[in-house]
Amino acid sequence: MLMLVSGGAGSGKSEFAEGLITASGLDRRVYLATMRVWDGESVRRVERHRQMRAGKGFETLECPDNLAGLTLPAGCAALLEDLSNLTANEFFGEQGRQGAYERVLAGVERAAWQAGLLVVVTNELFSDGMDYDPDTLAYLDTLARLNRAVAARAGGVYEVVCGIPVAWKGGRP
Amino acid sequence: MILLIGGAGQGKLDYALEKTGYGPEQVARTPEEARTKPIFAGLEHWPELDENELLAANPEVVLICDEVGCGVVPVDPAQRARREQVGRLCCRLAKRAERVERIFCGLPMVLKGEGPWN
Repeated sequence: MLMLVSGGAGSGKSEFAEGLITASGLDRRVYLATMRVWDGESVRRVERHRQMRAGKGFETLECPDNLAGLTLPAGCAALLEDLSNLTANEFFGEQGRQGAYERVLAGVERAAWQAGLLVVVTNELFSDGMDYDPDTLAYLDTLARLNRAVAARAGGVYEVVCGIPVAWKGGRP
Repeated sequence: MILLIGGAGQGKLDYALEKTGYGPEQVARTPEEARTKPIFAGLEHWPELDENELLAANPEVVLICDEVGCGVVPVDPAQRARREQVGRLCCRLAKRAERVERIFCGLPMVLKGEGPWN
């Protein structure tokens, strides 16, 4: 089963996504961490998310890029956080934007195939005007296409607004 | 307390005025005014609002807040922090609200609350 959770900054999407994992009944819980930690803010962000997950029994696998090369415990419940970071790391990273869409999507498909449940967290970045430089616009386009592709494959798609899930696909969890 | 959220210019305040029957002079624009007025618009300008204090003074207030977290993450750390703060504030308020609606193109979507509002 694949599920997609989106929302704006500070919307409560991570907490909701973790709830989907804990409600799945699957014992083995894996957190797929995509953020490259490089400054104080990202350290604090990681710490905040660690505390939120504390006691929920997650093991953490770092995958800032090359998700397709990762082997997951069969049948686990996996939380990928998040698609926008992973896509940015692929898009602006060594391998570059050529094929970034395909690499990320192949990674999501492979992870979903290995896991009993894969919950993908992504970001709503598309409602704030389009006055950005060409690189950012190209990244936004790639992420938007990935969001759509994952949503098309997902059994449940949720947008979290002020901590409240809006079910776009799959009904109320 | 009722929370109305949505993008800028979507008709949140018009909707609140129509639902409550109040006029523009009844709309607070600062936390201080909001202690005694029935509607408080522009919550997104007050990310550090002390909601406990406000709700103790005015438990039935209608709060209106722009959704500000749905764009490209800003390069400026202070702007990033502000969006995050406004989002968290709305999450806390939504938990306590008896009703939460999201206004889109002037149309309401009820996120929380039973039955019709007025």
